[in-house]
Amino acid sequence: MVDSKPIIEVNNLVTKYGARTVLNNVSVKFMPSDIRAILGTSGCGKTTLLKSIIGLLKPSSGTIKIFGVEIHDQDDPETVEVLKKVGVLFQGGALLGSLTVGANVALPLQMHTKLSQRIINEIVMMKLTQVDLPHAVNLYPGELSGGMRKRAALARALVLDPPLLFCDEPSAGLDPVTSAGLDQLLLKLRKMLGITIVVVTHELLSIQKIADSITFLHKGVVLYDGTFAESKKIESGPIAEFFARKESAQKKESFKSIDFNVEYV
Amino acid sequence: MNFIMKNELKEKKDSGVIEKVLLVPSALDRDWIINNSSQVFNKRIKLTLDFLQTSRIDSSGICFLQLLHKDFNAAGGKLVLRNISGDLLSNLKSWDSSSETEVLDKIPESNVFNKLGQTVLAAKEEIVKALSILTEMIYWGTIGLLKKRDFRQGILGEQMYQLGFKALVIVALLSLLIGLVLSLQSAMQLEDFGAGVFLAPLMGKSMVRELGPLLTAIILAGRTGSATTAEIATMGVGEEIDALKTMGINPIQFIVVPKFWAITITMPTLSLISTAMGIFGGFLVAISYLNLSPAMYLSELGQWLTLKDIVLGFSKSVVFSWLIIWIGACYGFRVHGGAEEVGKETTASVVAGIFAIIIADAAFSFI
Repeated sequence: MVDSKPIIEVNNLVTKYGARTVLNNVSVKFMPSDIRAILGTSGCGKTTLLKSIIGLLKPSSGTIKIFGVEIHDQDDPETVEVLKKVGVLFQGGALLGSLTVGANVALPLQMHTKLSQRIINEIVMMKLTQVDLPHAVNLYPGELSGGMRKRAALARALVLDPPLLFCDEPSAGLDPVTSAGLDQLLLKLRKMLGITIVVVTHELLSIQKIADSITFLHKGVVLYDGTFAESKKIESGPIAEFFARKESAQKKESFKSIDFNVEYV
Repeated sequence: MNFIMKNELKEKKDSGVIEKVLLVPSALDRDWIINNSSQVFNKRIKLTLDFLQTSRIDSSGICFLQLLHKDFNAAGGKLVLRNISGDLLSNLKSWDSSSETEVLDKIPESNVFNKLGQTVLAAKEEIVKALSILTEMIYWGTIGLLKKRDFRQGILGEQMYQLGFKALVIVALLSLLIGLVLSLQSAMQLEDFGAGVFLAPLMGKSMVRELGPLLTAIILAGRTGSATTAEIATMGVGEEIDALKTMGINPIQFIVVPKFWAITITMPTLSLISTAMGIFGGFLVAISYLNLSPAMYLSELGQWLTLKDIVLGFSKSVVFSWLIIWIGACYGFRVHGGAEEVGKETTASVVAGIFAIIIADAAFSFI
């Protein structure tokens, strides 16, 4: 695995919202068949990094390559071709509200393949069974619970058998049981299909259970990029604080209160 | 309520420094501050606040004391907190308004020129975006269809039913009513001059050239324009458009192109129905009020209506339909925030749609 070529290469990526720099000179490499967690506290640029990689946000500078192809915006035919090999699970599921779950899952197949409707229906049922949701095939997204919606979206993300899957905060808004179920599902999928999974999250439990390696972002900069086991050896700084669920020492020091004149009689 | 009583205020003058002692109530809270904000403190003295009875302090109390402390320091006086409990003191120290806080995206100081520049740049960006949506809509709706077809089977029929057929009854009914009212008003004037027979060409010309397409367009701007904006905007908020992009599906072709073709086909048809209903309204007035024979009404109509009128009416309705879908889509793609923006942009889309239709109608009058 060490010798194989990286599946995603991000080089000197800078992304700005107006005058504010969200990602500052980020360079990371993701290896095949890895479950990589992108971590960090809220507002550190995790989702921005994900959106930049999948071409939804135009970087101010730097390059992103997936399968060796440079990613530009959505009008670039090469980018569109690469994106067909990528599955994305959005935070809220992002299922099309006007289509049933079955039609949502079938959509990428109908758009990008010339398979007959009969085979498409069969694949849809297979994928929905993989995510334990075959009974919901004729329901609309509005009729599903949050967890079911995410599983349906996962089925849609996997329907073209992508070698690469991105998940944006898969456990956000889910109870611990459903969230653990989703983690198990991701592990099962990696084992079954051998896909590379990139997960953006800040759920410690989830990271411990599924991640092989992590990329830790802090204020738009990569603080750590390597195996999960190694990262736990770090004893101080934002990474150690993150794993120990501690309040930042830096934050505490920066606060000074007024010195009131106090007397006791 | 516990307020400081006048008799609890002690004042003494030792070695020229004025000292005041105030007994703070059991709760230093919002109510106390509101009721005592009129009390003016001399801030050059030493003021001692005695917290002996005080057991509670709220956010207003904390901020009040912080500001008081700063004011006393600035004026050269001294504020002393006497007998304050450890808990209250730590509450008090939980916030320091003078500590520097990093505020994100601070808006720079702007003068009139600055604001004007920003408005021009924002307008330029909007125009570029709108034009790019227009070109994409035309490209992906025509030549682009040879390259790829990012829409579902049967979507055109579905959209024609939604955008066109469902508006049929309201368009027909309103056109009939407008036709009746307009012809009745005109008939009363024409009759005075003995020119009742000209009601047929009057209704024919006005409905074919003007009112048929315009009425239909205004109704569809309200129905279809708003629905298009709301649909695209909601899809944007729910990350559905991002999801389409990552699936390699072109959002314009998937969402807008079927609507573009559906409205291009249904709008002239609806416009034709509207025109016919308006003329029929005139026909009813002509035979009931003016006692014209049906044959005469129809022959007059045929005599005065030209092919140019019909082509003009048809072209108008096609152009109006494109305006409706284009403006609806532009406002929909503008939404990046939440539910509130969806409503705001939908309203704006209808207003802009109707405005654009009337401007375009005026432009047609010069042809």
